[in-house]
Order: sequence, then structure tokens, then C-alpha cells
Amino acid sequence: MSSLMILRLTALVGVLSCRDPNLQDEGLAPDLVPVPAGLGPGDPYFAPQPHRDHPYAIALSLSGDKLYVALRGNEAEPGREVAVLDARSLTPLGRIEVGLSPNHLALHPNGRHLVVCNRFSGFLSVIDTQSDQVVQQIPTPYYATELVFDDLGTRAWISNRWLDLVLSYDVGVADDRLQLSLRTPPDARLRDRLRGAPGIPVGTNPRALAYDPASERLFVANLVDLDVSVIDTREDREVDRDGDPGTTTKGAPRGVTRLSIGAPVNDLLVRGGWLYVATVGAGTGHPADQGPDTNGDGLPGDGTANLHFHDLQNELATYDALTLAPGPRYTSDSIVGILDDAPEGSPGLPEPEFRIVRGALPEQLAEGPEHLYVVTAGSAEVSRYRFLEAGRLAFERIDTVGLFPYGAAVDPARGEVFVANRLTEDITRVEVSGNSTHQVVGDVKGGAFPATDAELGEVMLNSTALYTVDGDATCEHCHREGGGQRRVASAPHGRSPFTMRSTPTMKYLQQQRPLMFENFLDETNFSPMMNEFGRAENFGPGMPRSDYPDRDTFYLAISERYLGRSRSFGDALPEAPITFEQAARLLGLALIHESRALPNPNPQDTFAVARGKMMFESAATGCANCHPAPEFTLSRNFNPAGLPLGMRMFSGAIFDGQDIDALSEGAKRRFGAEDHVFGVPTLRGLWDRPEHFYHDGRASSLVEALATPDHPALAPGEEGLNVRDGVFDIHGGTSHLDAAELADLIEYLRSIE
Amino acid sequence: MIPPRWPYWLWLSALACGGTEAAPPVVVPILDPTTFEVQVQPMLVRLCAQTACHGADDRAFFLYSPFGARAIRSTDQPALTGAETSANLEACRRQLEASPDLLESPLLKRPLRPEAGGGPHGGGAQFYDRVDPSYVLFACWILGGGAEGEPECRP
Repeated sequence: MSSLMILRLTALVGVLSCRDPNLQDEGLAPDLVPVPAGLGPGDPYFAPQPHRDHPYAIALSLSGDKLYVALRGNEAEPGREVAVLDARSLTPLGRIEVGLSPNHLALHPNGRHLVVCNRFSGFLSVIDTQSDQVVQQIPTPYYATELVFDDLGTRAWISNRWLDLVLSYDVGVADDRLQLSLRTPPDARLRDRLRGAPGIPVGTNPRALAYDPASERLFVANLVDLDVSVIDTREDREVDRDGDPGTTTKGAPRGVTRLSIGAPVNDLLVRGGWLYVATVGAGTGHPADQGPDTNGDGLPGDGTANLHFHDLQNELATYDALTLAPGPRYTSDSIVGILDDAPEGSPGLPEPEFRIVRGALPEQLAEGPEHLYVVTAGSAEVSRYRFLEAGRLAFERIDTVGLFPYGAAVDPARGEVFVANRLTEDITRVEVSGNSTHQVVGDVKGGAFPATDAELGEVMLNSTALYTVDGDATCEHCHREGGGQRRVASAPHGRSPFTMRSTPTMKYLQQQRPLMFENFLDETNFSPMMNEFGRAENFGPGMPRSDYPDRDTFYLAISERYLGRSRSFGDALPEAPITFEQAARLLGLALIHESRALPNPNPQDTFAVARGKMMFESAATGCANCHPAPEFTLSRNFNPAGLPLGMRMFSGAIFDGQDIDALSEGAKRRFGAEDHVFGVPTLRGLWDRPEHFYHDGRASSLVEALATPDHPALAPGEEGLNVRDGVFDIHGGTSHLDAAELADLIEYLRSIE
Repeated sequence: MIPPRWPYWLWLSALACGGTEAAPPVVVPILDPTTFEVQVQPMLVRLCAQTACHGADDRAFFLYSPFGARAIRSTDQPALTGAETSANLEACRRQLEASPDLLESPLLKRPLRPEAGGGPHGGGAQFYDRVDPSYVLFACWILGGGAEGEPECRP
């Protein structure tokens, strides 16, 4: 793309471009304003929390003598520093101020320039690794998530979470400065062109990137769409995985089928013509209606497709980077649930050679000369596998690191791996021998982690695997980065084994109480969900955890081992031993204490937003009746008109004569839940969520969720679902809106923070 | 099925690369009638076709609308007729013919907010900026983008 073209596009809209790299702040978009934490002092569960830096991404200098650690902070209190350490002694050397919420570090192949992606700033920070100073601030749209260079350092790509794009750049170095020129891909959406950010449209919440120099392909992990976009970088155009123009993945350009992984795609790595994918289980495919009847509904099996969360596995999938043919798919070494007693060779049970993945929640991948390193965030570990031929791997060892680790960097000369630990505020260096060294790089002035009940709850939420029967599953397996995913999961509280529920976001929950679609769970009784990770019947003699006499003994021992305490602090909840029930309460506390809301970059003062707001609040649409501002939900804590919290709905779907929306007798008896009574999910944060709506996830876009059948706003292949039994407008009145009006209404919804 | 046409990105490329040094190409836009009837016309009727504005038949850019100017006298025909829709489309085409640079055509520029490079417009600003979904919908149709809500053209 010529610089003239960039200038012209910039002039068209007067917003973001990548043409003026200098350190002056003029011309840079202002930082986004963080959304405050969930609970305020007025809430009975509120307790002051210590400030934390939350070390996140990590990078090693080319010489291997310095470590850089991005201190991302959390959503409410984002950081804006990168810590520098001596890689040999782990001595802190200082901190570098960068943009707000530094999210990713990418070293240019010249070894001189370290590029920092800042989530909440409209620019990249470029650190000169010789002077360790920021020497450039290069404008780019908010939510630059990850950046990858090609091997020569002449191209770069950035995944952007706000726009669901990959931005493609030509890269040069002149006068010791990086020069990035934005390309215009042929399939860029008109609106993105006009915005000055023409990019390659990809899936929802694109995160990891991996470049294959042999095939000149870029692989993009669509975190919550459960697939990978494959981009031919010669054309900056997405590759059709199946070569059939008649098939299209939802949301992809027409005719493009993406590489489906079947589970959240956490990280990617290309080596030797093979693509390695860090993911979690796509499910065993085991029949849903088998197993014990533990909820008393008279039917066998309560977990169904996810088997009480036990088939949430941890996987390393491989694909030929050129043909995209699947290679070996490795899964967890343990499957506790129905399959644990199954003889080898049973349907759904992988062969032993593929059951080698250790730890929970493969989060990040890093490579050494001969090894693949896998950071498993949920179990606080890093694993080492040896690369074999044809995408095959051999497990070698696993080491414990700090809590909720994320980034990893490998020193190829020494065979050491460095890992940044989000919760414990430190980094861990694991040597070839397995010796580990920890160094605090974050903020422990308020006390070592954990220091409060809410922080204990963070452990239950993010490191759930420590407390599970087989150490395999966490809440984060499905609720990636606290959000949802484009997938339904079987609902343990449903009457039918086929009851499926969309995976809701775990954000804004302080104003969503009671929780769940059916409004029956509270922060004080979150045990049903926690129970699925470690059912009581799995402890004791003859059971998978026969090393503990019962579940509570297990919980107390694990807390003592990993947290150094077996009692809660008592600052928000009554002090008590960390038994199963107390752990569930702590988990509920953590869910409401942080809103985890991301600041919304979409403008809120445009004509379209104003028009959409008028429609939203009009009696004709009735949107605001059930979704009143500013929380856009009805809850125990927010109900301005005093409406009933639960809305009785018609049965959502019938499958083979079964009412799949009806609840189990156990759920109704214990929690007072009612059949077909649904709460009102908040509309906050819609701009960042996968387009997967309604309690059963049947709407694949906001247009489908809002439009009536044959509405002019519907694109070919889309289905207007604002209808029930032939009656239109059952989810707000929209049939009278024209296409542009519905676009305005959606514009307003996407402006809500 | 999308009829063959100049894709909208070629228009933008021509615009961006043309600058002031070279004359932009003169290409007669192909204005998809289905997209116009289903998506564009309802927006124009709502935003532009009031009788005091472009619903007045003495205006150079004149539009029929169901509750304004009509070519028929029948009171039992609330929707625009095919002839009226064709006339509205032709009115748009005439506005574009004089504009080799379509993004600078009166249709797209005048209703745009002055702060975003638009105007002057007696009816005030109708599009906040060039990312306004109504503007995008309109521009996509004018520039020859996909018909009937193709995802790449969706606002």
C-alpha cells in the first residue's frame, strides 16, 4: 500500500493510521477509560483489594541477557509498564512506561526493537532494547492483541480484538526506527476502510498469531469462535479450508470455511511445516444419557456431552500447515468420569499414545531447539514435549510454576524457560534440570498473593484444576478471559440430557444476581457449578481420589499446599476453613467482585447511536422494558420498575418430543428454580462477545437475534429468530424497522459499555 | 447471486491512489435495484423524503415516499409502486452521473456532517461520519458492493 493511499484514507476519516511514528502524543487517540471494579463500598461483600500488576506477556532479548515482562494489570486497574530483568540473576533492572494495559511483546528479528501491544491505548510502544527506552509510539486501533513478524522482519500482522481483524503491515527499518505501513487487503470491509483500519476480517476475539515462512501463511486463533483463520499472506486473503465455495463458516467471507478446532483456540505455533494448537477438549462425543442419576430425575446421566465437566480436557492439536490435514491430536492423560473405567479401545477413548497432555488449560506455547513448552494456566505448570516427526510429540517433563501463568519465553542456548505468573506476581525460570527459581516482578506491597477472600476466589476461578478430581478442568476452559464462547454445553440442571445452554460471559455479574439464564444461582450458593469439577463421590476408598478420605480433606490440603493457608481471611466472607462449600462461596465472591469489563472503544455520540437509543427506549420496540439502562438487565440489585426477575417463556425447543428447556427435579427442589422461567441477560459488553445469543445459542448474530423472519436487514443465509410459533416480535418489536434502523439499533447496542 | 461489477474496493483504491495528480476513472455505477428497494430506499424515504425536503417535486433530487409525494392517487396502495421505486433509483443515478468521484458525490457528501468533511446541506447533517452505518449502507450500494446485506457491506 502506498503511503499516498494511507494519507488519503486517513484524510477521509481523520482517525487512526500507521504513518506517523514519533513519540509526540499529539495525534494519538486518548487512552480508553477503564471500567470500575464490580463491587463498591456499599455492597456487603465489598472489601478493599491490594493493587496488583499481573505479569502477563514475557520476552527474552536476542542475546538472552534480558527479560521483558508486560505488567498488564486487570481490567479495572490496568498497568502501563514493562519490567526489565537480568535473565541470569533475575535481578530487576527497572521498568519502562508504555501504553495502557500492555498485552503482548514481539521482538523484531533485528533484535533491536521490541514492540508492545497496548490493549487500551491507540498505539504500539517500541522499546529500543539497547537503551531500554520507548523510542516510538506507532498509532494502531485500540485492542492490538498480538503482533507477529515474518522471519525477515519485513512484514507484520496484528490481531485486533475490537475490530475482529488482522491488520497487515509492511515493515522497514530506517534511522534505527521501525516503519510500519498498513496494507489494504482485498476483502477488507468497507467500513473498516473508511475507518482507516482496513484489515483482514477474521473470527471473534482474535488472539494468537503464527506465521509459517514455508507456506507464507498466517494462522489466526479466533479465541472464542473455536476456529483458526488461515491467511495467504501473498494476497492477504483468507484461505478456504475445504475448497468448497458452497460452504461458509459463520461470520467468514462467503465461501470461506475456517479450520475448526471445536474448542477455544488459546495459542498457535508453527514448526517444520506443522501447526500446533493449544486448546481444550472438543468433547468425547460420548452418549449423553449414560452414567449415574445424581440429580434424582429418574434419568441416567446428568452431565451429558460434557460429562459433569470431566471431559473438559487439555489438548494439543496438530495440522499440516500446507494441506491443513489434521495430524495427531493429543489429549489429557486422565479422563475421570464415565470413561475412566472403560477398557482400552472403547468408543470415545483415545489410544494411550495420544493421552499425554499434562496439566490444565494449555494457554501458551513456546519452542526451543528440540522442545515444545506448554504453559498450562489452570494447573500452574509448564510442560516440555520433544518434537518428533510429522507433528508427533513425546512428553518429557512437567514443572510447577506460579499461579495462573501466561507468557513463556525460551532461552535456546541454555534450554531454560521463563514463565510469567498472573496471580502470584512473579516469574519462574525452569532450568533443563527442572530446578526452578522464582522472582517477584509485580506488586506485593499489599501482601503476597493471596491476601483477601476475593483473591482466594480468584484461585478457585482461574486455577480450578488444583481442586478437581483429575486436575484437568477450570472455569476458564469455557469462559476464556472471563467471557463466553460460540458453543453450547449440556446443562447439568436440565431435565433432559439434551438440554443445552449457551456459554455466558462471567463479566458484570455483580448486577446479574441471581445468576444463570434461569436466575436460580446466587453468589452464596455457587456450589452446583463447583461441584461439577470435583464431585464428592469421587473421593474415598476405591474412588479416583482414594488418597483422600473425603472432598473437604482434599480441599483443605490443596489450599495449604498452594496457598499456604487452609482458612479464608474473613474480610468479605465469614472466616472459615476452605472446605468445598467455602471454596464455592469464595468463587462466587470473585465472580462479583471484579466486573472484568473491558472499556468500549465504540463511539457513543454518533447519530446512529442516538437514533438507535431512541428506538431502544421507544414503546414500539420495548427493548428498555426488560433491558433498562444503565445495567441493561433486571436483577436483585437492579430493577428500577420492580418487574418480576424471571420471565416465563414458552418452551424453547423440542427435540424428539422432549422439552429440552425444562429443569431437573433436583434443581427445582434445591434452588426453587422453575421450568421455563428465564432471567434477563445484560446487554453490557455486547461489542466484545461472540455473536451467539439466546439461552440455547441459536442466534448466530445480533441481526438474527433481533430481526423477524424475512426482515430486510438479514443477509443471505441468516434467519430472523424474533418469532415464536408464527408470532413475530416476541423479542422486542423490530418488524417495523427498516434495514438501516435495525443497523442503528445494533450500533447503539454495540456502544454500550 | 451478485452481478459482476466493479467491486467497491476498486473504487476506493482508485480514489486513494488517484490523488490530485491523475484524473479518477469515470465509471458509471451499477446500482443494484434489489438492494435499493429492500435496504436503501426505506432509509432515503425516512431521512430525506419529507415534503419540505426531497419529497417536494420541484427539487432536483426528488423522491417519492409512501406518505409524501406519490405518482398515484389511489389511497389503498401504501407501499411505493415499482414505477415510483424506479423513479427514485433514477433520481439517485442522476445525482451520481455528474460525480466521477463517488465518495464526493452530492448524495454522499452533502448529508455528511461538516466536521466529517460533508455539507452544505439544507436539511442538516444526516450522517455523523463515514463510518455511520447508514452512510456505509448507502455508500456500499453506490460503490457497487454486495447486494442484500452481503456481510462485507453490512454496516
